[in-house]
Amino acid sequence: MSDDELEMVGKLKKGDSQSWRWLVDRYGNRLYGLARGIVGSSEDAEDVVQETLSGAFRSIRGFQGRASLWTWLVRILVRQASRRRAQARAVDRFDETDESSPSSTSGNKGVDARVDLDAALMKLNVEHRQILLLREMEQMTYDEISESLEIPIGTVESRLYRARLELRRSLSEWK
Amino acid sequence: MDSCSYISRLSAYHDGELSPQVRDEVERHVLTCIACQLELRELNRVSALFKSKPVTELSSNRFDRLYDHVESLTDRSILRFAQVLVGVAASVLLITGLWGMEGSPAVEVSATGLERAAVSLQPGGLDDSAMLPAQMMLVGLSSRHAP
Repeated sequence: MSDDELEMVGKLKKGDSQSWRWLVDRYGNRLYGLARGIVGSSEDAEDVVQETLSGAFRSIRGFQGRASLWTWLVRILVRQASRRRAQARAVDRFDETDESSPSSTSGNKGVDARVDLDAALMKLNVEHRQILLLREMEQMTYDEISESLEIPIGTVESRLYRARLELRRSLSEWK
Repeated sequence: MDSCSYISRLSAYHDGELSPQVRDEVERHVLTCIACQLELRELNRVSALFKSKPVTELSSNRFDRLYDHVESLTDRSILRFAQVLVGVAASVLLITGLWGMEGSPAVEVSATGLERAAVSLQPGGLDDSAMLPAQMMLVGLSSRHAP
């Protein structure tokens, strides 16, 4: 962790509101993008980011800086997202996305590929979706993924392998 | 698809996560294995799809709501701190007040205090007008303690 980040963590621990705004500036978009990829809807993603910030605020005193601030935030976000998913499942909302059918084509190959990717991702189970987003979108190393998802490195490798296979199967349904 | 035993390692190879020794071994193998070459091409294709995905960005409204949210978190924390301070101050006042009352002469006005005062009266030390009430008090206290 850089000296700047360490200094900022000290201020965050003191509850300095400017530092918390800095955290939103620095990581808000990335947290939101990741949450959106995991939970699907933008409203739920915003809620997950807010819950992540609340969780970070509650537990910042326990943050020892062994992992980077980003890895630590991702760990909180993943937990909040699964909690939210569990709550939503109780009211049978999230499963609507899993029922999605192949999207209609726009005539633009690039756009279609992105739509297909989003739809194919939502067809995956959440563990596979999370790990793919962390690796492919966030370019996190296996070490960082292992820290964030609290799983051994060997599991990161095997889960990523299976997730990619599943994604390709899912994408082929849209071809 | 799993026609080759190396295929399951290609995902980590693609991510640059293999040790140099294993990476060299996989590289040598891929040169001669068509199945692995196809697999690598697929891995690259999917990664390219992710790269073409536009970055999801928060709208300014959502950003504002996040700012408000962290603001409320820090405000709440200050309020909690103030509440603790007020609580501590109130406790200190209460304890000091009680301690002060216990040490004040008013508390000393008790039955045992009057008893000691009455018993220690020396005859002749007081004139008759003062002696009489003192003696009456002594008689009254003695009868109260009689079995």
